[in-house]
Amino acid sequence: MQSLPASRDAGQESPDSSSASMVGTNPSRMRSVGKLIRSSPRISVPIVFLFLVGLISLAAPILVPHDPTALLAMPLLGPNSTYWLGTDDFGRDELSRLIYAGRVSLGVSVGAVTIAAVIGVILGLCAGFYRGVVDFIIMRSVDMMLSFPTIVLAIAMVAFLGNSIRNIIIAIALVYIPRFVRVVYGSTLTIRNAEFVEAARVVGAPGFYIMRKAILPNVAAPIFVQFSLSLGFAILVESGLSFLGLGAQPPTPSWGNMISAARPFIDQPQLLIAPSAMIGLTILALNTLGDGLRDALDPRLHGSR
Amino acid sequence: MSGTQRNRPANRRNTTISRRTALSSAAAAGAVGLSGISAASAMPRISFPATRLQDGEPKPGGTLRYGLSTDPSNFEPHVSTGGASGNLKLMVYSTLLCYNADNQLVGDLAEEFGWVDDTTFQLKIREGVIFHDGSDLTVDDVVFSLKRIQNPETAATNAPYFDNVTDIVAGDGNTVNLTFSVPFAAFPFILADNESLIVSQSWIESGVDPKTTMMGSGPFTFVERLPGISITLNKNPNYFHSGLPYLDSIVYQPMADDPTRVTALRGSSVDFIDYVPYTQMDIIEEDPNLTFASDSETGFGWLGFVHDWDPVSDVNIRKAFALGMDREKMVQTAFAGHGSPITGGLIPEGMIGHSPDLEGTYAPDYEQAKSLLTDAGMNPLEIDMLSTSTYSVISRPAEAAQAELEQANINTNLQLQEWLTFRQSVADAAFPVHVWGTAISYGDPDFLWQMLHSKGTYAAWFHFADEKLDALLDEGRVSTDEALRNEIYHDVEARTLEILPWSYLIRRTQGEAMAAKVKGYTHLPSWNQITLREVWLED
Amino acid sequence: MSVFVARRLATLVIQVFLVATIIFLMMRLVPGDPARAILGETASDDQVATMQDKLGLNEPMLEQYTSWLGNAAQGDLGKSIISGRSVSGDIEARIWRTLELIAISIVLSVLVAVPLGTIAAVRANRFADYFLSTLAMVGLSLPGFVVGTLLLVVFALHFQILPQTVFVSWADDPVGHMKLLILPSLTLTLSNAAVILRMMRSSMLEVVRQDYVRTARAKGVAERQVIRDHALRNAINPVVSIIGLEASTLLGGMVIVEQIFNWPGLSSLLISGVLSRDYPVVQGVVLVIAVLTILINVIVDITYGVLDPRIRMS
Repeated sequence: MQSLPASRDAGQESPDSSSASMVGTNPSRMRSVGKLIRSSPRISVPIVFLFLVGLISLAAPILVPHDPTALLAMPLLGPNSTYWLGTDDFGRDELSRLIYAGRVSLGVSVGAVTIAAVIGVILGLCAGFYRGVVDFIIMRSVDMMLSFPTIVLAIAMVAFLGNSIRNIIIAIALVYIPRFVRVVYGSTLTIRNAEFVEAARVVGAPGFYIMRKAILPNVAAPIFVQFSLSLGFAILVESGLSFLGLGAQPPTPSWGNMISAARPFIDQPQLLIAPSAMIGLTILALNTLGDGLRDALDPRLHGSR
Repeated sequence: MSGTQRNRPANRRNTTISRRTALSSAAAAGAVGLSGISAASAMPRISFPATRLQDGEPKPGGTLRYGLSTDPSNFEPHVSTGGASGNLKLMVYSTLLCYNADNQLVGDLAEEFGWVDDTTFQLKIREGVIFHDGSDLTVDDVVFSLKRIQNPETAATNAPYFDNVTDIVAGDGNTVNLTFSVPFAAFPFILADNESLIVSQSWIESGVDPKTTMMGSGPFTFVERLPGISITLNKNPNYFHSGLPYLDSIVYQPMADDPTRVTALRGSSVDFIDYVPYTQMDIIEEDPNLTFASDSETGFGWLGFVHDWDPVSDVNIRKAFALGMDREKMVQTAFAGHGSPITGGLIPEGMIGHSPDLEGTYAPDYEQAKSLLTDAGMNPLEIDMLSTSTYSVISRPAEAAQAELEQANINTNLQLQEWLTFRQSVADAAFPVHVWGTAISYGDPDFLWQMLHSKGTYAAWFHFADEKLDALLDEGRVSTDEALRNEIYHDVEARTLEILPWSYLIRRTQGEAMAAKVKGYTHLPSWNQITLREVWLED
Repeated sequence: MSVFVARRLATLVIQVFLVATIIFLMMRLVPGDPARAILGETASDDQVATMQDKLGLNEPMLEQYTSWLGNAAQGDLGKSIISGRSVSGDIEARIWRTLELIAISIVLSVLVAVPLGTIAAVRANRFADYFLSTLAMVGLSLPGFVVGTLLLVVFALHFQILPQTVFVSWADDPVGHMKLLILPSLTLTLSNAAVILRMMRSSMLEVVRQDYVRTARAKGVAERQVIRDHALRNAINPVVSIIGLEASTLLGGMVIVEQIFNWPGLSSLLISGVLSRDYPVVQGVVLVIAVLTILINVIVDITYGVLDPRIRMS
């Protein structure tokens, strides 16, 4: 099973305080985003790829050549002019299913990680800023959740809550909240002692205001990195669950359940290879993006490139 | 080298057992010998043919490596945990009656058996049978075992069939008498069932846990179990059928993953597998080194309704469902042709009550289905449907049905739950419609009682009751005249198709596969693998 | 130092306790009950109710909880509701098979990844680096079940080199057992090695910039010796913590690998327990997994603390 972002971030958690240079007004941030994207192929290429995949997924209902759940032809036909990737074991168009599956996988991952990010960031900020009891409760809970292997937790949750898209999203979100909390917590701890934060507190600005205006922009960088990486692993978990039959329900296609269904039919290898390639490429893009972002935003490593 | 033996229609005609043949061979096998019994009316007629493989001279020795489709949950002799474990227990324990290789009901522990009168069933227990621990098997053990099944604390699978048994006593001459409050013609089948095993009273009462260990009088003794890895049985040297078993031992190896199980057989890591997945049936049949033994009559799927749930409470809506499916096509999509559609009655050819005239009652008619929906003001119809992801023999017909029903403007929102949650949901009537499957449990149409009678298990799930069906089923159960029963069960089928408590879907081919060197095995329909004791290995 | 260790161990106990409680509660909230699992399709409600009584499922929740917890503290994890066997016994039988797979994967990953990661760092930004880094990224991006399925299809089904057969134990058939180990450990190693390689590389790069390395170079020490004696020893620290984390991730995350390759380890016990609502089994397995995970983390923390005094103070 894959490693988790937290493990790779170990030893690299606290961001450099020079990322405080990211604080600024909106226009300059927009420019720096554009600059950021163009700065490295490790960022630009994945973004283009993901953008395309995302676009196709969104447009899936109008884009797909056939109805992905209709039994259109004989099962297990090879690729031909009507069905470019052939048909699956029920006689459904494999290509349409592949496109639709992307919609499911990406939708679930983006939804889950967004929820995890929102909740995780809030909790991490609170823990890091207020310290004390709040810190203790939140961080101990985080530790406890992190001591659970991801898939076990997700499986247990889906088994408990039932197989549905909504429950998968909840399960994955719950699993990834701790990671966002950790990242934000570490960054918050560093920033909170900076002078401008002290100044704001002295002046009497309310906690939330300080968190939002002063701290959040400075911890934005690691959040983006974590977001990208978590997206990749969320797709992994979702497809793993679907592979085990705990994810998207028939006839809804997901890359994971397409791979699982393809296993007995080795004389139609495209049934196995196509969804595998899609998962691999998408996760690769997200990981590369996360890497590229981290390298761009974390000056510590600049000297080594 | 024996070729593959399959239950093609041609074979079926050859081996269909006529009434006369059935009874005469039953008599020849020593089925009935008690005075005052009219054999002709007493013994229920056997239904399906068996698939017997052609052999040669049995050779003793060798170990059979069996790739089992499930790791048995436990060994409790009277509670079913599935077909796979049931067959395993059948090798260690014995039953009073059993099936022979011609699929006839014959005595096993019972030397003789039959109805003394309409409500008294008598068995004469064989003498000289020894349990594996050396103790004698006596009538007391038989009475104890049957009473254990009756005992609600055991929660025995077959307990409901003993509801009308008022008395079980040992009699003179090594006999056991069961007294019924009403006649029950099909009862002998229950005694041949995998969960009607005879256990040793002293062994059970000594406090052992029968869930984790086994000790019986069967052809093999229980040696050891390595959970998840293997269960080893050794030949019982004192088996009461002298000469049997031929094998020295059987080693069961659980392999739940279908492709793994088949690969193990094809790669010769195991010699025998059960539950051949449909995706591999053709491959196995074409392989000259393998044999496939199956039937296509007993396994079937159905679409069930909860009858107090609108809109399926309306029989016309249920008819729309029944008409809105091309079952021929479903056989193709679900099982690549390894099965057959059920457009009429469920009772297969060869069984009492088989009604060929009802064939085609629900041939697909999407237009008719749609117009029924329109009349009810529900065109199109959106509805939730439940099935289980755990067994593909159930989920595939469910998916195929879903696609079909769409054509009739019935848009089902299919939910696949894993096995336990699924069963709970069915028991809780959590979904208006569900797709499930099972196999016909024994060779008499009385099996329908459990499924259609208002006091049966299924009716409780379906919230269903029909007085006419109840009356017919009760009459069929207690009747002993064959011609009458034929009529009764024909009416049962007709009534079922008329009011649709459930809608039959398709039958599936199910069977076992083995290496060519495995000889002497006969595939019996349903889940009974007693013939494993007659298997030998040819080098 | 001992305060540090003691504190960590105390946290361990609390965490384990909380984990156990949560699992207990979660299992009870789910629909479906083991009585039905045992009794088969045609069981009537009466029979199910009888079985539930027999299994003690109708005792008050608190009683069930306290007795389970009390026994667990003494090492008795109860008996499986479905099979009747001792849970600890089943876990004991299976845990070695899971640990074995994990151990071999980690050893192989380290053997492969540490040298490759070093090479990538030493040849940073040149072809070897790009090649290895890309390889690692790909290895990281392919889900375990994809790799496992592809390996299985290619080697077992297509080429029939390593056919998926029945399980044999080390004791019975060492060679057969080793053959069975190959595909699953390869699957695990691929992703593991990728993580370790990248960590090694970045850690190495970090270290190589440090003053003491530059000093060694300036002193004219041979490059190879610089790497070996100075850089490697320091670069390895974060990698140690990664290895520890990978081990604990693998423990539960072996689920899919065990499913695909029919490996009778802890994960498959867990899955079947969850699916059949076998409360004692699930509680027991999750407890053991959590304890092991936490234990490994504690050991890693302590090791890290030993190696790097700065951490102890935080």
